[in-house]
Amino acid sequence: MNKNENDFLEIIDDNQKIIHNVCRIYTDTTNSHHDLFQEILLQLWKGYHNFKGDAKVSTWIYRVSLYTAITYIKKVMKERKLNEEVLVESTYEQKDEDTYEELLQGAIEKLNDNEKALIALYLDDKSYKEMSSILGISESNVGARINRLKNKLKEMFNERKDGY
Amino acid sequence: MDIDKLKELKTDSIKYSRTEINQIFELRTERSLKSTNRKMLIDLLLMGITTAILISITFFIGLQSRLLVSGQIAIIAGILIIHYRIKYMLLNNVDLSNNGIKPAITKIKNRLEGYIVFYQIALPPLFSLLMVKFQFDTYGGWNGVFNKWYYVAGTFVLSLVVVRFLCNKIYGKDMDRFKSLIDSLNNEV
Repeated sequence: MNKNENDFLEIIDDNQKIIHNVCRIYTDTTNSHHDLFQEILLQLWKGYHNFKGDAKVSTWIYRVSLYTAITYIKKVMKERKLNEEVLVESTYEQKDEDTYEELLQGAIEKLNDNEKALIALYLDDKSYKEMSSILGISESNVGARINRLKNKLKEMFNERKDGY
Repeated sequence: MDIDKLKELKTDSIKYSRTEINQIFELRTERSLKSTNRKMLIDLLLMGITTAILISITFFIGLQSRLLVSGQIAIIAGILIIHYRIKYMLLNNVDLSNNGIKPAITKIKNRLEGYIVFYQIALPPLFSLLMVKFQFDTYGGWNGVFNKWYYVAGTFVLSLVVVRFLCNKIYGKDMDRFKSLIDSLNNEV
């Protein structure tokens, strides 16, 4: 392994929490989490040579991770998800009651890809400015979207809680 | 309901060791080296085979010498490979160190759209010209081309339909997805 690869893997090791945060929002099983992690790692490596350090490392990793999750991984995981659906459903039925966090997590899973990106950044306590830089949309738009998302999640959460 | 409660959940429960990261990295890059972008490879093969068939037809009819036909095929194959390489680089090198996600997706969508328009504008006239050349060689001059003008027109229409169909089949879903992502990101409140 050459120095370049070592430096890269060092960065990944230090920042793997970011990648796991994105994987957690976009996937619902350990296997697909691992798949997405692999895919993001590859995309980061592809872009590593072009990374000049103009942006913060964490911003760059977020951009690549979310971009990968939004644009590529859906296709890759579609087949896998179908195979796992039966198992996940049977596990779900065995529970008498979901916890608060599980209900909320379930509502997040129903969001679209762009909404998930916002939630991932929000849950990681990113400022509106950073979110705006990562997503490429205006700060005011970020704020409005976050509020709208909170309301949407609240409705979805209540529906799930009431058993709809 | 308070979404902020999710922040309190432990996200450190999944953490790979350095050795695991190294293994994932080696496995993934190895796989990546073995596989290029399959769709664009299909694209390349389709264009290559079609061109080779068209030129070969003129050869089998005995209109051109073996050397000339081989040369034409080699030149076209070379152009297609360069074109494929440039397209692959343009579509896969997304600069995310300087740009946010929306500009990156927009750029990729525009590039892909550009290629599709280019194919739709350039390929039908190209195939029609090949038909003109075929007619010219077969009937020994422009008279043959003008008398059978509907062959050229038919080639133009048919290639237009086929190119549109193939572009839609190969890139249609990706284009729709990019457009819907951009629409949703553009959706100001």
